Amino acid sequence: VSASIVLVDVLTFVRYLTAMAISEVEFYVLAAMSADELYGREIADGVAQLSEGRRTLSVGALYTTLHRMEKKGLISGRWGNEGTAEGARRRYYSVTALGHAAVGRMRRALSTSLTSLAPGRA
Amino acid sequence: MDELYQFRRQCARQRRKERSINFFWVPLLPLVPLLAACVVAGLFLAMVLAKAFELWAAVLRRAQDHRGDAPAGFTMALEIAAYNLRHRFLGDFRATPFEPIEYQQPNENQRDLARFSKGTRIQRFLSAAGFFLPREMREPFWEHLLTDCAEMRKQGRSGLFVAFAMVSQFVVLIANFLKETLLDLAVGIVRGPRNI
Repeated sequence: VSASIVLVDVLTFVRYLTAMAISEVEFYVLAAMSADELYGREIADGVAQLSEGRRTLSVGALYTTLHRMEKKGLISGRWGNEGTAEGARRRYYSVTALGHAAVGRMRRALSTSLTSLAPGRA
Repeated sequence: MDELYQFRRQCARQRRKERSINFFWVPLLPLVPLLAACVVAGLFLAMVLAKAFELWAAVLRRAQDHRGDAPAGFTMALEIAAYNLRHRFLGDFRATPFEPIEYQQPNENQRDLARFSKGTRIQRFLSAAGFFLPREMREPFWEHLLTDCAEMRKQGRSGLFVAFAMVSQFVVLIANFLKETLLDLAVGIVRGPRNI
């Protein structure tokens, strides 16, 4: 029983952290979308371009990430009219105010870390 | 007089006996369809055995005709297996080198089939299998995947390669979706129904 309680606490804490912070992939997605409204393929290309090819998103992983971010309120989506086949439509995503705030928080954290790592400071 | 009475009584008993129903066979009536089914099954089995014998005779005849030429038969079996894999299970891929020439000119039946079915079999299967995914995830994923497949076809990739790419991306999508769902479920159980 105590082990299950510990597991539950750990799960809750992990979920709390994931709700408060954004992952690396989510940061790249938000950074790629900061300019304008994009759809899945453009987002994947933007992520690969921003990370200089170090981080690529496969088709299967991209849409679960976008769905999760939409549920967290970091991005919002709308349906496009152009479809290539029956039952397939593009969905255009844009960053919400919460997403912009998350990116700003991440940027501040990164700049603080980089300042502390600057030569001559330590 | 007594003899006449006894004779009449005996005749009446005989008539009653003739009019009565013999109930001995009634419990066995349900066995009639079973027996009929057994007869039909026996006939079917006999047909199957006859067909198997016919095929076996053809195999023996072919072995006699091609004795000392076993690799040809093996190659033919491989070609048939590859044909079944490509055309029956993975859809109709027209750029493959082992394709018979008669399949490159679609006949009327193939045109009808193409009219009533959109995409290859594997595309239709994946489209149906993804039905339980959320629409916000399913439709853009499907659009992206079909566009990628069209690009791979333009690059000259084989049908098997494209099919493998489609299936693997679908499996990745399902795995990610299950992971997210299980995590949400665990958190919902922990925090209570208002926070699911």
